[in-house]
Amino acid sequence: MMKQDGMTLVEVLVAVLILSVGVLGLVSVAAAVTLLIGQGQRYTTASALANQRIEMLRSQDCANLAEGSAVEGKYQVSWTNTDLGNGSRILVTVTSPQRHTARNDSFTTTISCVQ
Amino acid sequence: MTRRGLSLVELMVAIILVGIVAGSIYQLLLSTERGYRTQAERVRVNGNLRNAISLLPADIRELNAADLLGSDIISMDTSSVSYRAMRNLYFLCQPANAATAQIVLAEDAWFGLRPYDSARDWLLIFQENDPATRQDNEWLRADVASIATGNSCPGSTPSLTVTLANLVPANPGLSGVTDGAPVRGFELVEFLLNQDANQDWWLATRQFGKSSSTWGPAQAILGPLTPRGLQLKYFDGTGAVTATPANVASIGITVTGQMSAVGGGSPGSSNNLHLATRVALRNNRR
Repeated sequence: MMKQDGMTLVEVLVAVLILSVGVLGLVSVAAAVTLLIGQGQRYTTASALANQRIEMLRSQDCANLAEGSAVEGKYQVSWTNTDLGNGSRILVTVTSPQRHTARNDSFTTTISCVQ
Repeated sequence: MTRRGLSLVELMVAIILVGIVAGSIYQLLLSTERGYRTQAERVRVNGNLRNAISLLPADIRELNAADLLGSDIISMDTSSVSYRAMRNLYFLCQPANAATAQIVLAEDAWFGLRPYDSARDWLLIFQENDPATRQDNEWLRADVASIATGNSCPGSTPSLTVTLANLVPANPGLSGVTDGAPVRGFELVEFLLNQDANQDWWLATRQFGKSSSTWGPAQAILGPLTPRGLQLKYFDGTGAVTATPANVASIGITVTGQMSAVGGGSPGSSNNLHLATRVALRNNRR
């Protein structure tokens, strides 16, 4: 019978190691992309929520403007107002959940209070 | 040298192994294909919804629900709203003539979507009354009996001399309408959720015909939406829900898009996508 030369165990281990480094690199890229898509989705939701809140504040009489906060699902929306005399500066902060921490996004606008 | 081939058992084991591998690759391919189709469907529906969310507020933002002479919102419901949609803006170039019910507009300085269209538009005329206060300002409503072009504005610039009809309120008429007063042309528009012959629901719009005095046919704009795909909520200045058109200060809009069966959608499915926004009426009296 012909003598068969296989691979040694060390050779196989090295090959597996090199292959797994490459594959792990690909997997980590995919994981990062998934994470970023999720983040983008949360920021979009956060800005939509801030926009809604600003519209709500805009529809109120200036005399009724007050700071406050509301919970919208997993998001926390809080707002403050600064009196500018004939206007009011509104600052809306949306806190969106992250895996380990929370992220705050701030949105500001000015509402006319001319009577 | 002796050459040995594969035994039947070895061959069968090999075929089974190859079969398992090929089968799982096929399954992977199938689920990727399904995922791709679902995502493409989501992108399509989402794009539709985003259009709706930018389309509806464009008109609604411009409304004045709290005028002394009545709200720009004609009727409101959870899945439809009709209102005076502002289409153009002109200015008087000389004080209104109350005796002849005529106003003269500067023809070369109009703003808006399109010029006045006598087949579709009515007019709102700003009545200043006492210049010392804002509390008595209001918008008179009128139809147009006739329009004549000319050069009657100061400096012989192009003008439109408009003879009004059906002024509301008729008394005190055009007194208190000053030189430079704004005049807005509006048509009556309704946004509604409309079902077509295939039982699909669409966001649709229709116009009120001036000559026919009825609502025209509903024109589908986008969809398909779910049977409750358009939800409107009306809020007053304190943020409370209101049913009175004159009290509306902001409108909450939620549109729900119907995913097709390919995307795993059915009328009540949680796969259906929705988008919500809220729009404050910018021209309300303050």
